[in-house]
Amino acid sequence: MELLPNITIYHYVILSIVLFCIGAIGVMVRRNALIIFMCIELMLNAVNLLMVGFSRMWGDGKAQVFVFFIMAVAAAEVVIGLAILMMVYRNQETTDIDVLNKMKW
Amino acid sequence: MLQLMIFGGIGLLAMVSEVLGFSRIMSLLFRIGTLVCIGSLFINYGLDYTWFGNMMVEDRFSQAFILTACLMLATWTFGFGRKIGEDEFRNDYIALFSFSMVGGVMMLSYTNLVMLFLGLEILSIPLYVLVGSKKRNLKSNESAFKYFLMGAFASGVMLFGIAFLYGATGTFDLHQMSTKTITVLDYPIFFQLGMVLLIFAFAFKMGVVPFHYWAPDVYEGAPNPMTVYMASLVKTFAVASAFRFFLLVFGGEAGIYSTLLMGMSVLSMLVGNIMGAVQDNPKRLLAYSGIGHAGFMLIAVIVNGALGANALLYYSVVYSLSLFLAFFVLDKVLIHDDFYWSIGDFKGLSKRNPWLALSMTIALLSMAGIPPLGGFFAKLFVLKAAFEHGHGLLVFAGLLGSLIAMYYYLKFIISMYSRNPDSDVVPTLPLNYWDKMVMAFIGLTLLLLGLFPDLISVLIRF
Repeated sequence: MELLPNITIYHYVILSIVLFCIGAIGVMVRRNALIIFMCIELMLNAVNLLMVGFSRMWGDGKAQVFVFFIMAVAAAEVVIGLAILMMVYRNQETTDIDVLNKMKW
Repeated sequence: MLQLMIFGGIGLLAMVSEVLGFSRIMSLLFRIGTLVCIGSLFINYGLDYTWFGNMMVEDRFSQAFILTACLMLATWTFGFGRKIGEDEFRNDYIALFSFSMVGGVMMLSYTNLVMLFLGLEILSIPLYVLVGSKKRNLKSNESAFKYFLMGAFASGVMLFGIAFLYGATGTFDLHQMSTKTITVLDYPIFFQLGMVLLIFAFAFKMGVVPFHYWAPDVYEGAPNPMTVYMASLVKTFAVASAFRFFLLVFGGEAGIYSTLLMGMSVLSMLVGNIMGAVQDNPKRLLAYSGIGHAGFMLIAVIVNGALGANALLYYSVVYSLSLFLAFFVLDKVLIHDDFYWSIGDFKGLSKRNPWLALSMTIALLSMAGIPPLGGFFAKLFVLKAAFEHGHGLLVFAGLLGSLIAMYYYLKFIISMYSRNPDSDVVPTLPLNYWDKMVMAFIGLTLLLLGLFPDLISVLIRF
């Protein structure tokens, strides 16, 4: 039974691309390190949505298993990221990434 | 697979070694493990193995690259192991390096995009920690943060690409994907988008223009042993995994995608070397020259096939060895506060310690590609492969890039030999026998590789 017969794969693709772009632009323009981490998570979740959409389209579960790997890896990555951020905060007393300007060109 | 188990096991042992009280023998175990890996690869060489339900295949390509990676790791331990061993966190470093080698081995033998992603992450996550391991150093903090941000962004881009490739072909397996790409795809736009995103992600990891901007900052801020590990082994892993992807999916040149790679290669050979010529910090100079070298390695990826694999293997070995030697000297000379490092610190090095000056000269001449040393044949093989496949533009850009690189390498060498040292520096730099042995070993290996260039190329025969 199709609950939403008018939703095609392109809807999922476009939604994922929009979410991914919001995440990517957020990483580039925001100056607060915590917001940047959230934007990276948004990018990865856009990928998860796309994986599940394609998995439904092809009718197999491979991509859904991949989604679990992505979630596990994203958790590990954010642990390291927050640890690095803590280290920066202890030395600089701020989470603003504009203080990280010791090296240029 | 044995390599995966050995490095994973050493990593786990190193994590518990402080608690269980065998932390003193850990560095010895790491060295023995590396040697066992090398030995097992020599014994099983040429036999194919499949693991994890066909997700990882140990074939000739992966064996050759894992073998050279283990040999390079052994050389790296030989040169920088002592510096790591003096640190109070040495066992944590051993654990992190072992885990990142696990990721590297996975990236060299994957046949499934899941394994590529997992390998990339297992390689990268320990490196984020290693780059920031000088906790009180602001530069180290900054480079760890930048590396983490760029790495996480790149893995997001890579995953997006993998998702699109899955959408276009319905599989993560590279062999099935290869058969699908021959036939007409249902959604060709997804495949194209996925390929472009995946290439961008590989370019991020390799550090080629226009995705290179993180590399100089990260290489400058990281501690020297970590920098040289990233610039040599990790770059080799990234380039070789991109090579493997194109080899398995396209079996050679990849049409329009090769053109994209060509653009990146030309840009990195030119931009990397031009930017290198205006640097004053020696670590940044080597980082920018590394971007130029990544462009060279990318030529091997474009050409692909047996010709490209041989060229890439030889190039990565010679480049890594030159880098080991250069950084070994750098580590001995730049002993003051890292905010004031400059090429000026190398002025008159031949008067302060002729051994260091000679080693640096060998390393830089090898990178520049001067004939008796290995670097000449490395560049020759790559450019010959490009020429045989009719890529005149790549050959031209490669030669032009080498010419620009020659300028700043020679500038460096001239300042070591023909200037007098500043009056306020330490007049002589002491070296013990171990240091001299390391430099003599790496320098002679570079010379040997230049005199007998067939030593490496017997490893790969497709």
